[in-house]
Amino acid sequence: MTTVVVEPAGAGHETLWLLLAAGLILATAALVVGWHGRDYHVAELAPHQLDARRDLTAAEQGLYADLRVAYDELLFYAEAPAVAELADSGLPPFIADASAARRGHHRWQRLTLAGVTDDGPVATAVVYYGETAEPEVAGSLLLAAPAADTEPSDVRVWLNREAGATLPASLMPADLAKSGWHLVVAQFDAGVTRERQ
Amino acid sequence: MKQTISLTGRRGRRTGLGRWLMFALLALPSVVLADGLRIGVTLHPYYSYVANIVGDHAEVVPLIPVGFNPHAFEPRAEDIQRIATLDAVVINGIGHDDFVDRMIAASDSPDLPIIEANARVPLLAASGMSALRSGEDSGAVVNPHTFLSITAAIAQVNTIARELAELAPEHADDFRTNARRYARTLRGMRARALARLAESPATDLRVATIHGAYDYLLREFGVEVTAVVEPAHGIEPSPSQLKTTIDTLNELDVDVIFSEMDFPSTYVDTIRRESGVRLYALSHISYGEYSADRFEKDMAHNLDTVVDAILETTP
Repeated sequence: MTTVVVEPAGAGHETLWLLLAAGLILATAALVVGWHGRDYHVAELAPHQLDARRDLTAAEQGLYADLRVAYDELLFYAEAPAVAELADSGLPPFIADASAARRGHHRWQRLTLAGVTDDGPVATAVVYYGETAEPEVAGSLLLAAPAADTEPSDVRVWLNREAGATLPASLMPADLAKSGWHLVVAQFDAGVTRERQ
Repeated sequence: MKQTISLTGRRGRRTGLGRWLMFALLALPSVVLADGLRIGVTLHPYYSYVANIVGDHAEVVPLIPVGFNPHAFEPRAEDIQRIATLDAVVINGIGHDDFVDRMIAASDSPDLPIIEANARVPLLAASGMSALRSGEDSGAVVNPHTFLSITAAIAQVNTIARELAELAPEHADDFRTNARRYARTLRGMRARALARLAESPATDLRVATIHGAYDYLLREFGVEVTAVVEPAHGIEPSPSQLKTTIDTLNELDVDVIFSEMDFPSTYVDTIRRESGVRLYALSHISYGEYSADRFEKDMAHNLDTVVDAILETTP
């Protein structure tokens, strides 16, 4: 007598092969993605620095952007102009406009402090000091006016969120840190999504 | 790294006559060469920036033909061929014109000088779904819409003018003067808009945008974007996403929604109807004809619209 074993109807083998094929495809894709994936590196900031993208409030980000553009304009002046002159020329954030009212009501002054350059301390440095009326909206700000032969990339802005912030004795990093001032840093690195980096 | 302008980069145009002209031009002062400058741009605002900086000293050449969507642009062969006719290209470079790298690499001028307009702009983190994709780090993806702001536009104009001055030093003074004059014009627009708010109390306005493009613009008014509706530009939310969005807008008690002039969509009407929030349309400045005054016209509309929204929603 001949016996023929007839397998029950079902898709067990097909399912198994299908799952194996799917697993293989997924594993291959994971390998390819892992192979081509690149970590972005966020530059480590010093304790006295703040990242303009991550560490500032919305109002502070707007003010910081305005100060950087103001610095570009200040490069055209032989001497740092008075705040009133900057306001008259319509240069934010020195104008007392509706934007200033919504971003902390800063009171701007031009002051002279003991300064510092790459070559060491200098006698004086002109700064623009914006004293905030609403530290919870935006801290007080300090912009170093450009000295002779400075470049646009030399812009330096410090932030102090303490109520009743005090001015530093000088622009030496130790004096700034002691008075609670943080250097704001804008980084053109992580998150910039173009391939050619 | 700065690169000097060289006629050898224009391989696509070399003919017998072209060779003759090249030898003739090389014998002339560099100012003659500079007057033949062709500067490529990727987006409409950059056309306006560069046109206002260079004046008559250069021709501004859009890389995206009129009528194409920059968010989904796939360059054609003739678009890539045009690269070889350029002396430099000005790009957004932070996510709004990623196609340009492939275009340049595939062109006859792979070493074309590139001017990164945003190199000195303090960038904001992306909002909306692109930000969510970046995981926990809110700054991992940047918002590329720096061109929709007066302050960031001036910062870019200054950068472009400096870079162009290095490429064509004989016109450096004109480029700087033009850039400064243009910056003053743009600042005047902002000042006029803000002057309309002089009598308005500085209330905490809660704003949502359909597209995550207006953070830079609204920050100039001291306004922060509370929510972004669109999953990605031009991508409509699914019905369940739409319901979640409407619930979120109601929960956040949003006062104003800014939509886009160029993307009218029925789902935006649904949001307005269901949430009862006022809707205002802004220009993305990325469609239609290229012109030197396009940025000023569209930004004037945007500034007026934001001011209208603030005035009409402030008690």
